[in-house]
Amino acid sequence: MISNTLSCRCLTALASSALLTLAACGDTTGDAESGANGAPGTLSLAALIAENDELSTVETLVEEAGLAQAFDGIAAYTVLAPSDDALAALGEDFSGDEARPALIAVLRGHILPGYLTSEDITTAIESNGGPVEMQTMGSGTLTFAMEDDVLKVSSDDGATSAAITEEMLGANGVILPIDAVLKQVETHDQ
Amino acid sequence: MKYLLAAISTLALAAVPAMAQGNGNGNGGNNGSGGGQPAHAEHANHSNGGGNAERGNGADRGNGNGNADRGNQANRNNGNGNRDDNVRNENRGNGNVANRNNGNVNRNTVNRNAGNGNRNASRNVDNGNRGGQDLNRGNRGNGQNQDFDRRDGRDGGLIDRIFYRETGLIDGCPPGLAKKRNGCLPPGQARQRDRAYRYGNYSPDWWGLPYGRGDYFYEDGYLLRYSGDRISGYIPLLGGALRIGNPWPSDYGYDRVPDYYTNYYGLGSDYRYADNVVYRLDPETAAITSIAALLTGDEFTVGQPAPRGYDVYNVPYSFRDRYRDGPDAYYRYNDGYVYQIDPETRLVAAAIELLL
Repeated sequence: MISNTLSCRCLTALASSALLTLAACGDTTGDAESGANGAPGTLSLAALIAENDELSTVETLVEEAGLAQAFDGIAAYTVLAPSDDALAALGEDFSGDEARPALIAVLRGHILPGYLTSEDITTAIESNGGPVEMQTMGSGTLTFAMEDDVLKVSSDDGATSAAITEEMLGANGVILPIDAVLKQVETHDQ
Repeated sequence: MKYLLAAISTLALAAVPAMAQGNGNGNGGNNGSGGGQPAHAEHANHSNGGGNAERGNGADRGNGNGNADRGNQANRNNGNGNRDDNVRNENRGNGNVANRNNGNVNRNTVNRNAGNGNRNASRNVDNGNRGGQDLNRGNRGNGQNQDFDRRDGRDGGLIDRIFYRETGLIDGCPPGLAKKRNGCLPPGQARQRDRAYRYGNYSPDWWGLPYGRGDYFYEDGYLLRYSGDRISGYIPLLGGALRIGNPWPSDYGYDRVPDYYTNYYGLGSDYRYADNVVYRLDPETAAITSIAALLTGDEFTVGQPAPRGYDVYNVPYSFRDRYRDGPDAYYRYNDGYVYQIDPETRLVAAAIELLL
């Protein structure tokens, strides 16, 4: 079941953008014909990340990397945001200041161009008759598929996957929280 | 892989007669009379046929001029916007120009299509200031780094390759490490420890960088490349050496993007583009202040198949009423553009700008 986190707080950063004139708060409404579905709230991606208690690591990364401004801007992104627990499970190699570039590289592998709702993804899977792929801001793609009526996303090598059970629709993009890291990592004990 | 301005190259295409006109002017004489304002989406849609033809011409002209321009900078280290057209033509035959012909095509075209004479002139000044340095890097890339050669063979001439040639590996080792390590020669044991430590087996591709596998490892915010037992080059990493508050690494190349990008992403004048990231800088200190945009750099070229990895409808919400998937057209968003795609052939039919 997909639940939508919608908010009507004003977003001053976008107050002058055309997005605001079109973005209205409201419940998600399906539009099977076009694939255009959920109406977004007025929060930016950065604000959506900040308000989710399970995404504090991503929030910190976004701030430290200077991505907050990009995520407050007009360009649309969709972020499959790994939870704090998922990122913590990466272990010592991915902790501390020294790990920041690697964590940002990991995060880039979870950012997609544009505005993808879970319904868009499901529609594409149905239309394609199977899994679909989307390019990331990293170096590879992510694969989406339906498994037992659950929408799942996996890394391009298929090594890790996560269920998409929630979506946060913002004025300039979508946050899809997940409980896994979709990028191949390894520890130094090899 | 990714080539940023492939997308931009289609801008040239979709960018309507007005853009083509600007292109021609800019190329012909640096008159500064190019159509500086990007075309609107409707224009792009309505001008597929004629627009394509003109684009093709414009692209050819842009390529020749642009490449030669680089040769000019390399040889002369000047950026005289008024003179470079002539010089470009004269320089077409030299080796430097030949090397760059493969890579610069669309980038130059894009810059010219989206820009105008004034912007070209300012860009020339930039290049002139660092032209010698860039040329050296490019030559090193051609001569030593097979990754660059591989890129040459793969894409047939897209803008981004130039970026990577210019921004790519910086020779030597980072200044901080050089001090710590007595001239970039790490003690053997220290090196072993480093390499066994973090991320030792990650290729540049893992970091989102367009270089093939090699002898790389991470340290102090840089990706270091080894040749034998010596650090032969390095790449500053986003969040590491390229983090908020840090000055731009002096040898790390960068470039500008076409006007449409500056408008769409609200870049202003103090930004630098490198390795698919657009950075904002403090105009006085040149310190990084924020990330303005992340780009995929994927190639969408009108008349060519859409790149892999765009299976899902992803048009920004505020444009969905206008660009909805239907039986006659699909729409996909990437790097500030919406691309119209033929559902049957999967060919890109048009590139649409989103400025309102």
